[in-house]
Amino acid sequence: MRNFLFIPGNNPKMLTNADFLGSDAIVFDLEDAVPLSEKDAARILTKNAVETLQYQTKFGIRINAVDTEFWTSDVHDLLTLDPDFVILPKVNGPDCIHMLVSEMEQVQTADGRPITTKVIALLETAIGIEHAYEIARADSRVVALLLGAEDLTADLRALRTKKGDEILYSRSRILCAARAAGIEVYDTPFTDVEDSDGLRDDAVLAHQLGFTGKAAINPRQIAAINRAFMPTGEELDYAREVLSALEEAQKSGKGAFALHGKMIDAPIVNRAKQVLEIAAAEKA
Amino acid sequence: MKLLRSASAGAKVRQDLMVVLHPAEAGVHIIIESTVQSLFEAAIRSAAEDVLSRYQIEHCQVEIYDFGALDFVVKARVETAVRRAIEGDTI
Repeated sequence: MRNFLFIPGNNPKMLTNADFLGSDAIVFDLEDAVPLSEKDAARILTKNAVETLQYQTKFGIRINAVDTEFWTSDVHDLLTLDPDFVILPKVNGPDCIHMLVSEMEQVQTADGRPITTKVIALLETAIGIEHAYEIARADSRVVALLLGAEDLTADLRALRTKKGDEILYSRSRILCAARAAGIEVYDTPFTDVEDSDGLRDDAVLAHQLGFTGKAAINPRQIAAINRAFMPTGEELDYAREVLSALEEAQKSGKGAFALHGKMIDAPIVNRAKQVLEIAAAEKA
Repeated sequence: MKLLRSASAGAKVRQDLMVVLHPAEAGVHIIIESTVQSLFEAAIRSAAEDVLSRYQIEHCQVEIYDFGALDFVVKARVETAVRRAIEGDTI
C-alpha cells in the first residue's frame, strides 16, 4: 500500500463513499474520530456498512487502545468481518500486541473460519518509539508500524511543525525497527488538509527516508501521496537494468551476477520487481 | 425483550437519521418524518421493523427523523437505539 485513508466509523456519508475515493486501503476509525458517547454507534454502523456495501477496496479498522473499555467489543464485533488489517493505537510495548492477538484468536468469521486479519501497530508515545523493534517482532501477525506524530509530540512535549525536525529521530527509529524486523512502515498523516505544497514535501521526505507509504486523513491527499511514492525515473531505469541483467545471467546459466560492479542478490531483484509493479499500477 | 428506558441514536444531518425509542404499553408504533417521505417511508418502516423483530421488541414507540439515510444506516441507528434501551449504560 502507498496510502490508506482514515474514515470516521460513525459518518454515514463517508462510509457510503469510501470505496470510490481512490485510496489503496480504507481504515474505518473507531478511535480518535469517534466521541466516547458514540463508540457503540460507530461499531454498529461500520459493521452494517461493511456487510451491506461489500467494499472492493482493501480495508482495515482502527480499534480503541487496549487500556480502554472499548477494545474488546471492537475486536469481537468487527473482526468477524475478517478485515485485511487492524490498527492498534497507543502501542507502548509488545504486551499490547500479545493482548490483541490473544483476543483475535477467539474470533471467527461468520462461517466459522479463523480470521486472517493482520496487525499494524501505531506508535505514538515515547515509550512506544523506544520499543519499536520489540513491537515489530512481537507476533507474526504484525505486518507494519505506523507513526502517529500528533500524540507523540504531545508526549515528547515538543512543538509539532510541518518541517518535522521534532519527529526525525522517531521516524528514523521506527524505520530501522520495521526494516530490521522485515515488515513495512508507514508515515504519520499530514494534518493540514489545505496545504498541498506542505503535503507534497512531507510525503517526498517520507519516501526518501524509506517509508512504504503514508496515512491520509482526507481524500484530496491521496493523489499527492501516490505521486511522492512513485519511483523516480532513475529508480525505474535501474530496476529495468537489474531485471535485464537477471535475464541475461539466467540465459548464461549463471547463478550470481553483478551490475555496475555490485553483486545483485534476491532482495535487490525483488525490489526491482516491486518498483516496476508500482509504476505499472499507477499507469493503469 | 423489554425496553428498560428511552434511548436515541443517530443525528439530524444529511444521509443520517435520528431514532428515538420509548417503552410502550402495547404494540410497536413507528412515526416517521423524512426528507424523502413519499418515496421511502415504507422502506424506512420495513428496515426499522426488521431490527425490532430481530431483537424481539414487541412494545415500543419509535420516532424516526430521517435525512436521506440509506437502508444500512437506518438499521444501524435503530439497532443502536435498541441496544441502548435494553442494556445498561452501554458504550
